[in-house]
Amino acid sequence: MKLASEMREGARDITLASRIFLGLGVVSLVAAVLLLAYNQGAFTKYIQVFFTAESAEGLNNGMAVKLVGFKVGSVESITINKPLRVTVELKVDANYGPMIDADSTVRLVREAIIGSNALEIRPGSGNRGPILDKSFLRYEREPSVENAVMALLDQMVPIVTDIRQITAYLSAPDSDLRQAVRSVNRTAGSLADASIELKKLIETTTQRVEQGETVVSGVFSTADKLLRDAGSSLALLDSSLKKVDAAVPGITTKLEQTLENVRAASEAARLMMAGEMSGVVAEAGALVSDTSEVVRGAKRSWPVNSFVQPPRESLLRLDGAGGVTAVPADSGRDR
Amino acid sequence: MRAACVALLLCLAHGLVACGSAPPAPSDIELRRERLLDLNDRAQRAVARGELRRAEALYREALRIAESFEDFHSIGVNALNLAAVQQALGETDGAQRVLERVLAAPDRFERPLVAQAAGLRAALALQTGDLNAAANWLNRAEQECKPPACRIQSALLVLRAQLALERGAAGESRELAARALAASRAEGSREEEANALRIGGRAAAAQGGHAEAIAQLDQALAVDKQLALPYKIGLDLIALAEMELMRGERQAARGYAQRALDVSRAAGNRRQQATAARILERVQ
Repeated sequence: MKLASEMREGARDITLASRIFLGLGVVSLVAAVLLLAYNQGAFTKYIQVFFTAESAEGLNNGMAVKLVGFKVGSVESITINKPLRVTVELKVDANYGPMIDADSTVRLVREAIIGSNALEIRPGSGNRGPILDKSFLRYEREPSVENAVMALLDQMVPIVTDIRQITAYLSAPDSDLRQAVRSVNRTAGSLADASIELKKLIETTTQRVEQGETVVSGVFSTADKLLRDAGSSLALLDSSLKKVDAAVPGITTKLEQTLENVRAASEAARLMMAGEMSGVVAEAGALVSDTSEVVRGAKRSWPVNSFVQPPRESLLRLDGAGGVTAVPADSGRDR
Repeated sequence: MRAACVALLLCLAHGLVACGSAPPAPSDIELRRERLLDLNDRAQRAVARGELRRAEALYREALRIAESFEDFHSIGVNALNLAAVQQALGETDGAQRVLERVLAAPDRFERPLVAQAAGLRAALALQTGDLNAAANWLNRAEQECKPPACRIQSALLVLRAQLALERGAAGESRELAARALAASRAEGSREEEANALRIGGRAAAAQGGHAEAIAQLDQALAVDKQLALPYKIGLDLIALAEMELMRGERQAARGYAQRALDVSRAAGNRRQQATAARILERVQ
């Protein structure tokens, strides 16, 4: 009898303990579900915001709505209206409502180069106060990088044309500059010849004067002829240089125009790099960083961590010929 | 029974939640180690692309990080890699200074690393023509290199064969090159196979065995072309040019030297360009 009552009491205790355990389990599970629902925004209050767009291209249901980089809502619905306009309904966290100006604009942006599209709420002037439920905002598309690059290319075309024209002008055989340079070369050549002749003449004169010859007058007449030749060569040189002088301002003007075009294009490129491109690059960098963080986290998590081989540093193999090849020292015949 | 099943299911659910939870945040040292591994990996890829300047910068940074937390294995690995890249860039002084970190305190590093450091030092001494120093470093490398942990025997044999050739002992060099060839084939190292063939070919040419020299040098060139190693292709072409010059075939020598000049220009190796240009001057 006693044993039976002890057994009954024991069974009652076990039942009680298991019920307590079960109750605790159910409570913790419900708490976990509630926590999850809270994290997913099930208890968050939202306000409705609308905007109209000409096209639904790039817009999707569920797309993130961001305010200064924070996700504050999502696209609830996209509908087409009668005059072929698209109305988009946004669901925005009511807590962020006071931070959004009523004259804010919604912009379709791309999250980094390979990222997905998102809607960004850009602040307005603040004169019209904060946004209210069921408000309408203005919508605009972000100018794409492709368009910016095309605009830059459009600016580059006249520069390339100018450079081509100048090169063609300078290399044309009948251009003023080429002709002038050719004349200068010719003149310089005849001056060199004249100087050689003059040198010979001076040597002959010296010899003959030393020998006491009286027929120096013939020599002097030859010298006079040579000097006249040199004079005509110098006149030719002078006219050639004048031609060069006349041609240079034209070239300078063309070069100035080209340089101005280059300056304008480089300014545009600089602005693009400082503005849109730097944003794109920064966002891409952030995306890569985030992705590597996610991958790193996944690698450390169970059960992935048991499948991923821990990374090792590789030592380059010693090369008998003094070169370097990207062959790890521990790789052998299995390569 | 039903309650026990539910309890078991709950335990399993909790267990799964616990396993799938976020891992603890990595410590500072883990982050440094990750950066170190990343740098090492990127540097190795830069070497594979032939971007030696970039690889040098990346290995230098990896070495700095390794030194910041005194990880001697990482210090040794990155110092050796940095020295190898500097050697390939022709910066022998810099490479020697980097190797000193390992060779000055060998007890801190694993023996295979010390063996490789001594082997690299021998190769540097050979490059600068200091044959006695090369012999000393080679002896030390051979003493430290104990298989199976150390896997650079064939490279050391190639260096030994090269040393013999530089000392004028062509017969000994040929014998060592043949041993290096067998060892490299056993190790499965195609790079050392080509190196052994090149030294063997040069040694054969020095002894007047031109037919054998051509055969070996052509084989070395074929292997190096397969592996796409511009520096080695340049060495093969220079060896072929010198061999042709030795037997008086000036036209053939000019052809090889010109090819070597083109390859070294494309690879940006000035030292090799100068060697090829010197041969071209001699055959003009």
